[in-house]
Amino acid sequence: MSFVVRQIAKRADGGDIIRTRTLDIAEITVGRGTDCDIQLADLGVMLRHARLLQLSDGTVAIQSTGGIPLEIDGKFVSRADLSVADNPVINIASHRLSLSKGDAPGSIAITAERVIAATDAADAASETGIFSLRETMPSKRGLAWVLAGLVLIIGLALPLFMMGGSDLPADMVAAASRPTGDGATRLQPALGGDDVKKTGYSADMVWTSGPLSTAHAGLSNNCGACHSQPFVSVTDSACVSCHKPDAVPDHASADRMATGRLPAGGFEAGIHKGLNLPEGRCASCHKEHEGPRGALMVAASFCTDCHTGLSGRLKDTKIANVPNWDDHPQFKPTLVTVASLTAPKFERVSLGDKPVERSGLVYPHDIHQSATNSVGNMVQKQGLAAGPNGALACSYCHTPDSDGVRFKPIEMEKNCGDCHDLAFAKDGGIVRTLPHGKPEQVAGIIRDFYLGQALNPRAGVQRLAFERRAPGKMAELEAADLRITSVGEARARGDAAIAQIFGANGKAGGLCSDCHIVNNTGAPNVAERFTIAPVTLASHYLPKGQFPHGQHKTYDRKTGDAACVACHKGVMTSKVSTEVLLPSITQCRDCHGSTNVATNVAATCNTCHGFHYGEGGQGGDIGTSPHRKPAKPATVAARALPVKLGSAEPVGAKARRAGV
Amino acid sequence: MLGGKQGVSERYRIAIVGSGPAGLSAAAHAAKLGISHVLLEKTGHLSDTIYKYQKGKHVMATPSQLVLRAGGGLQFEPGKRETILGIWDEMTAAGKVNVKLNAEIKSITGTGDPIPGSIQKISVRKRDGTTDINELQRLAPPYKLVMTSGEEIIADTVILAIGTQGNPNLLACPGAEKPHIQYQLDDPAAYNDEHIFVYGGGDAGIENALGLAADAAQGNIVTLMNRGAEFNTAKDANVKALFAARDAGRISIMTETSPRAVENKWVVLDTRDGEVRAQCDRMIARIGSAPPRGFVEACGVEFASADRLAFPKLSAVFESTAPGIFVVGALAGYPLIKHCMNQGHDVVEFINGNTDLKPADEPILEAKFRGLPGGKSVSEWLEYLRSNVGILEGMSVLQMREFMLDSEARAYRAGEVIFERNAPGSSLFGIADGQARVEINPNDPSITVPIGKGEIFGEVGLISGRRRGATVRAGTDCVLVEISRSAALKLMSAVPAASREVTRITTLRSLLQIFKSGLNADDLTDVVGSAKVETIRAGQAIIKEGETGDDIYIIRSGSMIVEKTIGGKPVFLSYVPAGSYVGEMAVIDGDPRSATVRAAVKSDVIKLEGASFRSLLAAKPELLARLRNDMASRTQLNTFIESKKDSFGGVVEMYSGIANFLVDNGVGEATDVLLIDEKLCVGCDNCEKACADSHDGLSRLDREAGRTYAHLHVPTSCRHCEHPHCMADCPPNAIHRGPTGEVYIDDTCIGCGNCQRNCPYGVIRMDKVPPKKPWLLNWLLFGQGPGPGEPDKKWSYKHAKKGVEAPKKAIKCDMCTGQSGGPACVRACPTGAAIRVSPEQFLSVALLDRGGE
Amino acid sequence: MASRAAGKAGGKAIARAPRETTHEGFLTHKRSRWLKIALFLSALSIAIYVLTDPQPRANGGSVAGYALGTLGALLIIWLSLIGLRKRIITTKPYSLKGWTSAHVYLGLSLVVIGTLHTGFQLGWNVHSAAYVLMMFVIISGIYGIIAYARLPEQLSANRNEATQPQMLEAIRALDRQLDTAAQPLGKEEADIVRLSLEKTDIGGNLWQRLTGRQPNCGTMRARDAIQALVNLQMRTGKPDQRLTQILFLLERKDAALAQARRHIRMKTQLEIWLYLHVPATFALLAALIAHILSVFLYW
Repeated sequence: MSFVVRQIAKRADGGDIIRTRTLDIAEITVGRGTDCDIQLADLGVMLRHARLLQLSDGTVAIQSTGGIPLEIDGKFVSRADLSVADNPVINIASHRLSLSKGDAPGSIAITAERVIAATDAADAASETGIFSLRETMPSKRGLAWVLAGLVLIIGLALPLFMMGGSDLPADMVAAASRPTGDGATRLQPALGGDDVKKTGYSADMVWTSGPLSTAHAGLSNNCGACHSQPFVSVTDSACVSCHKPDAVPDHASADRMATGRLPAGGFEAGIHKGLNLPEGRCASCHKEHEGPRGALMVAASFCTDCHTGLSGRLKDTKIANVPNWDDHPQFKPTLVTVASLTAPKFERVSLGDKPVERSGLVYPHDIHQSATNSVGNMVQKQGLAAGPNGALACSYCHTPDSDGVRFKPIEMEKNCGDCHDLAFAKDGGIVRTLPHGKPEQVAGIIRDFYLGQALNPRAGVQRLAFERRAPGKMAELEAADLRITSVGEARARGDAAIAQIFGANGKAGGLCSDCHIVNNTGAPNVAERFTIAPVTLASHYLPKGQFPHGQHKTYDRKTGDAACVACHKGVMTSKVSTEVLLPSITQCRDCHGSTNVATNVAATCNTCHGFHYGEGGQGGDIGTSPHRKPAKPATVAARALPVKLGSAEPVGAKARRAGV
Repeated sequence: MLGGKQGVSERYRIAIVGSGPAGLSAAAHAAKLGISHVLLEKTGHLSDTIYKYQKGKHVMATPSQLVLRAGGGLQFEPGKRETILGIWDEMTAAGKVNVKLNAEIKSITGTGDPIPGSIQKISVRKRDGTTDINELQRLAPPYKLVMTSGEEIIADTVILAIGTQGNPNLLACPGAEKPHIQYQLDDPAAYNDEHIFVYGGGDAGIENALGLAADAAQGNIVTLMNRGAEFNTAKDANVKALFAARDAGRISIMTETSPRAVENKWVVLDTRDGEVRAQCDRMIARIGSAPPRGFVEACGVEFASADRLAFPKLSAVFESTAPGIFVVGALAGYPLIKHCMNQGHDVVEFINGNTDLKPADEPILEAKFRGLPGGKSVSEWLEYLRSNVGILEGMSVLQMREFMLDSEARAYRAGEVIFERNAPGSSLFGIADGQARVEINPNDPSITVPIGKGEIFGEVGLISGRRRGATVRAGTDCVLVEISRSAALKLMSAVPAASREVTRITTLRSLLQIFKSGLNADDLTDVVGSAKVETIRAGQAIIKEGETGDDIYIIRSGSMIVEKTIGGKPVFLSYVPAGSYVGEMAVIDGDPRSATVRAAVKSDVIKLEGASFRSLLAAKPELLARLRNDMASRTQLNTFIESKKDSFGGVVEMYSGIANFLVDNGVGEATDVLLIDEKLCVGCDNCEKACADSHDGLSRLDREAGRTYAHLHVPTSCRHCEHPHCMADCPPNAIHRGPTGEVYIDDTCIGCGNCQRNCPYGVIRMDKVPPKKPWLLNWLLFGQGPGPGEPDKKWSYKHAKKGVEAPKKAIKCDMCTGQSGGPACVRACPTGAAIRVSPEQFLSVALLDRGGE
Repeated sequence: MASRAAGKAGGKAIARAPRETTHEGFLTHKRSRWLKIALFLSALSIAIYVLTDPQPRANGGSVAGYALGTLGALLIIWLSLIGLRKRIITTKPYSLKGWTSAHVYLGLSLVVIGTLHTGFQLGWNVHSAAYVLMMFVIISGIYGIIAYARLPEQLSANRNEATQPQMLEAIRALDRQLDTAAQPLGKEEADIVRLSLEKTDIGGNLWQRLTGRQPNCGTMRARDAIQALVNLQMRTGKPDQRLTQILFLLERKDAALAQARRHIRMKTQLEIWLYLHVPATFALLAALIAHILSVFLYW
């Protein structure tokens, strides 16, 4: 009966130290206590942990004495009988006891060894890692890769992948391409940035260098719309795809622009050249991504840069050089030199060179501005629009257009007809009127009238006389003796009447010659003897610029006609219509850019001019003033004065009837 | 005890004592030649020294260009210790070498008649310092060799190849013969659950004790006994570790204790508080070892001088002063294995009558003399030098051969520069022919002092270890022998006359150099006559403040610090390097000493008596004036410090505190030391990484370790001492001082580890070059490899080339020579914490400003 | 032979390779040369920004903008190269201290240059992302400067010549002593000691490292428990010698731990910012690429 105890200790360098003792007793104790037969230096072990009792040869009873169950072959028991033959293993804390048959007969070998290394087994040197963060933090390298990767994906890869644009929003294209002719279809309101919902996400939005102007806000998620090619700065083609040229005409044709432009120089130009950023692109002036207001880049010298020495570069230009406002050349109104129904001729003549306009119309302003003469009476009798002095108001003929920029075209029926009616005879209740603008018919009508009386005389038919007289005082001419006996007589009296109505030999008193120049060709046939010179009225004297009359109604603290004539001097005294009554540029300088602080008003180029007026002037460009309204290009109408057949009664007739 | 068997003693023609490489090769050769011989080895195995190398150590074969001429075709190639020993065992067996193991020779005496007039004087130094001379009458061969076992052998000739290892000192107390007392410890892991006493407070003892107690699992109860109260012979690191182990309860230390008697299982100790009896299963005595000299002298072999470095006097054929006794190997002054084996071969040839055999080192010497004018043969050259250069007389041919292995013979044309001022160099020059001129005035090269044929120069560099003091040119075409420091030291110990001469000249020259004002040799004769060379322990004071005395001291080697007691505290005044002098003030003004001068490190000073010096001054007023100038500058410094003291004392204390701290940490003997300002050091260890990456993957510095004072940290890295301790004992002489003053180890290192042991600052490590690391970017980007700096052991092991045996070599700071950027550690410091300075730069008043921070 | 070569060379007085002997930190390197340069750069940038009047408003797209941008980008790339410079140990003369100094000051000047480059226009886009990242890197760097300037002194004071392995070894030694000292104790006491042996984490998680505090450190708990036991016994009579011994050991271990943790705390504070600074730098470089590329992609 004996136990052979082999206690195995690990050496630091790995080797084993085996200490063997033989105990010739039947019972041994296991524990941490020094008095135990098998002492296990392990705080996990009780002072007296277990007892081994050798029952018979080959069987051992083991019993826990420390109150902690023993782990034997994986099972936890407080006591057990073990047969040594099947080499049982007992685990106590971090130690293991393995039993086996001893060499000596009846002896039992117990091998005790530590299976879990002691806390201080780890050598200090290998642990110095705990002093650096390396083991606590993810590696800098990893973090760097992740972060950089993320940035590259979101900031570069995705956008590159999803680059390019979807097709343009129809409404914007429509709005942009609509001719900006009348104020109703302005761009701005049509596409106010906020009412355009910025729908949809596009990866390349992260490349934006700033918010788009409200007008373009709708394209925020559609970079490709403008940035069509990579590494190529936004080209005009991109702009023009929406902003059609007829909506926004060029300042001048591209080639003329190219030659006319001041050759760019200096550092910046060099860079631009190097980076393939040609001058004169839309984008050179229209900078985008500069916030909601958008940004039109216009330097003070924007126009004069080119226009100072334009003639030097653009040899054949008709435009005078304009170095600045003070040296702005005198106005050169477009005047009619040859009036014609088909091909009138115009010429720009500086106001300085005694300009004469040959419109073919006879209109003495002075007569019509008098309050006392027959015109004045007419105004009163008929209650026409009158100025404070009772004379006919300017606006009676010159009616401002909707924008108050310019005036509606003058029409005979509207602006002259009330006084100058063409009544000719009276047949019972019917007033017969001669047609305006059809002189060749007039002679026929008159002759037929007399022949009618000769063949079939009727009472109650009267011919009306034409010489101006006090209204009501009119007496029926020839009322008595319109009984014509012979055809011959009828023809003679008709011819006389024709000559009288046309006012032959330009002598006044004729119906036509009041306003028109009548020529007597002396043709034998009286019907073909008289012709009327054609009339051509200019509709726009200064097409390259604009003068908002509406904003000048109170010029010089005057109102109404006084304000008009304050600039259009000479109207009151003008006897002939060949006089040009436009104010000269000096008139403008009274206020614009004047030295007199009180009256000084800005005088930048685009106060009157616009860049996108087009070559003929009056382009679609709205300039910067919302009140501007462009007109159609300077078209000229040759107007005959048509006679209204059977339409509303002429005023004159009314008057006469009233007199009845 | 002569109780052994007293059988008839066999007779041999050659008895070879010691089975090291030399003995082995001799025996093998004798066997090959069929000469009757016996190889006597005291231990149970061949060549004990190599046997004691640590397991698996790579043994190298240098010098590589030396042909191996091993007797009996004995092989020797660099390789693992085991392989080499294995091969040798086989070959001795195969070569039928007659080996006697466990045969320790006790005495060798002639058996013939007394040799008339051949009497050897043996001086024995006793404890109290006195020596008495024993006279020994030599007897003619054959010799009787008596072993400790009592066995005897008769031999016509004896070859002593016992090396320098010597025998350990034995316990003298009763019971000293008990088996459980041992004198060395091969494997600390071999003992468990024992009460072990280690006796001896030296490094060996401490290391043994620590080894036995290192592993708690072994359950040894270790006690270290030391006779003294302090452990001043041991290295600082070892002592620290020892105390740490004691505090950890793993070792108990008993100082002022020695064994009185050893019994079975018990030991009786003498302690300060009386006798103590303690349980003791094993006693390990490491109380030093006696060099074999005593034994060798007792055999009738005479040594060149009393110096402990001296070697036996030998003839050209290795025969000692005792006829028929030959000395080869380390004992003869040739530590390298190849040399030993060659000599083993040669000596047998000589004994066998082949006297015109040329030594194996002939080709090396030929190479040295090649290109010199006159086309003499090697032996002619040796004789020429010996007879022409004064200090070389009295050397044997054999000594000359060995001497020339470490020295150079050179021819210079007239005017050619031999060395320049401020060039580092510790070699001594002897003029064999022609003349050299010393430019004593750096500003005016025209002023020169001639040095004639037969004289020497460069001795200041040799003694002080400092840079050259003056430029020396060849006055005429001349032939010089440049004697490396190690050769010079050997020479001085071998030829006492030489050392006396060198000392005299040094004194004279250093005087001339210090007082360069037209003095010439004969002005100084009596001063020099009064001169005494004294060696001063570190910390010992040569001048004490307030004392009277008018001696002047020239610091020959080492360095001194000057202190002044201000407000009861010693305040560091200045640092005095070798080559300068102190104590002149008292001579001039006769006042008592104004400051204390202590040795910063172990120093040699030349002491000049005031009297003779004063008479010299009387004769030389201009010299007096010169001294007054120096004095003025020093008094200035004093007053400066004084003023500082009054204004802000803390600063001065800080200053002298730091200065003393630096001196304590060996900065005093440093020429260039790495300091770390821990106010700036963020501990990124980039200095170490840079060091490793610029020196094939091994860092030569340990930033963290080392002392710190006032945030000024002296890391563990080489200080490039003036007298490098590491150079002291380097078998292949592989440690040199480079052209820019750095101390470096060249690739002839055999990895013996002597330098590591000798370095008091623990800055040398033995290691093998780690495998190549992957490209830096691979690490930066993908984390391949261990990254910058020294790879950890695991990685190196994993990536080492399989099957390739990488030798462990000694590595240390080489000051990044050859790197135009200078020291990498300094370059690579991101915060400017690391600076490299020489003590003159740093131990200056400039520190005061730093102190002010 | 090596010694021969050395011998011949020994004759010449070879000038020692240039080296840093001036004792000044990276902030004052070469009398703050880089501080001056950085200030000059900043001033220059401000001048450019103020003197040019780009239409319609200042932004990266103007000439000045491109100029500042180029300068900034080059700076960023150069600054990020310090990571390489630090690790590539060349033999040519260079001073990493100088690099650090330049890194610090030029890095700070980026605040001015970069901000002016943006023209104070920020938005949710890759360009602003780059700017924000840059500022983040710089701010983390500023923390680094402060840490580097303040902590080392305390670090060395706390270390008190003990190396890291020594600190650990001290704790391990105490563990061994505790283990042996606790052997004769009963279960309860033994378990208390095991708390200290097994439930003591020196480093701890990031927060514990940063604060250096570990409220439920096993050792502290063990110490308090043993203390309590000892106090109890004191009242009743003489305390158990073994317990007082263990208490003593626990207190020493506590002290050792405290030192180690202070060391760890400061090391952590010295290192932590690099874990933001470096990865953010790489993110910044990526953002920079995206920024520059995208600018020219969508021109």
